[in-house]
Amino acid sequence: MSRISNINNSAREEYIVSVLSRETGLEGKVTPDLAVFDFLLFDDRDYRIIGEIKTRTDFYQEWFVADHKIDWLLKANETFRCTPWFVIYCLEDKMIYRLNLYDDYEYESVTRTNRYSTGNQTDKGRDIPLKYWERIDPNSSPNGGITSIQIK
Amino acid sequence: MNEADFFLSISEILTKRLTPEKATCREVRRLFQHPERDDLEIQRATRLAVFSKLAGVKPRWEEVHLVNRLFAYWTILTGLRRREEPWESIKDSAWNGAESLLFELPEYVAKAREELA
Repeated sequence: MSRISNINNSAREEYIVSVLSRETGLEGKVTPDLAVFDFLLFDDRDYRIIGEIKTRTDFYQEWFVADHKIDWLLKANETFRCTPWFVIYCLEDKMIYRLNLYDDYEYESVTRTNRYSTGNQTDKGRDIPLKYWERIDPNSSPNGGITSIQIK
Repeated sequence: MNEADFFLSISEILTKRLTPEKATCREVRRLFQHPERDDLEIQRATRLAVFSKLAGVKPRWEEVHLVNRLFAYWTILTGLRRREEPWESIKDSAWNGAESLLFELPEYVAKAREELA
């Protein structure tokens, strides 16, 4: 089962957003470090998608998503009427997994401990099975492929 | 709409809910009936205002009618006044957006900011 094991890396986030940008044909932008969400996708007329990115070291059959992240994105999109995405980048298989939070999906409610936290940080959230996530292979995207420069 | 009317409208929205029924000020009621008022455009203007700085993009406000910018501004102010999510987490972006929407009238935004501080 998925553990909380996010590793913040702004270069990696830039790379992931560039892949999402190519996939959607939209412009992408990673938000500043302290922003409550991680990225925006937009065109020259409007903002279409806002979302959160998490990196997981290992591959699992379900991905953990913290309730407070889902709650904020859904609340924000009641107001802003964008599409809320949650995106996982898995270091083990080098794939991107994307979930539209407006889609129907089943999940198991769980509590997880962050193994990288210095304290005893736990989060309530959802284990959402792999079948509900769209798998994006960055290497199959036009101009895709991970390089050591893009991911440090 | 002159500046005095506009100020009345701002005061209205700071003390009342954003509906024509609750708007005791005639200017605000009139704006609800304005032919250029468009709910989708108001939502778009709200998004442009709040997200553009985060995206590093300058909104093209000349393409958005003033009436829709006013309603977007009031949407933001109403959200900030409630001190609830999602506004609490994006306060800085929201105020930046409010200033951007009313770039011609920075004193009104400053006054609202003072009142809500």
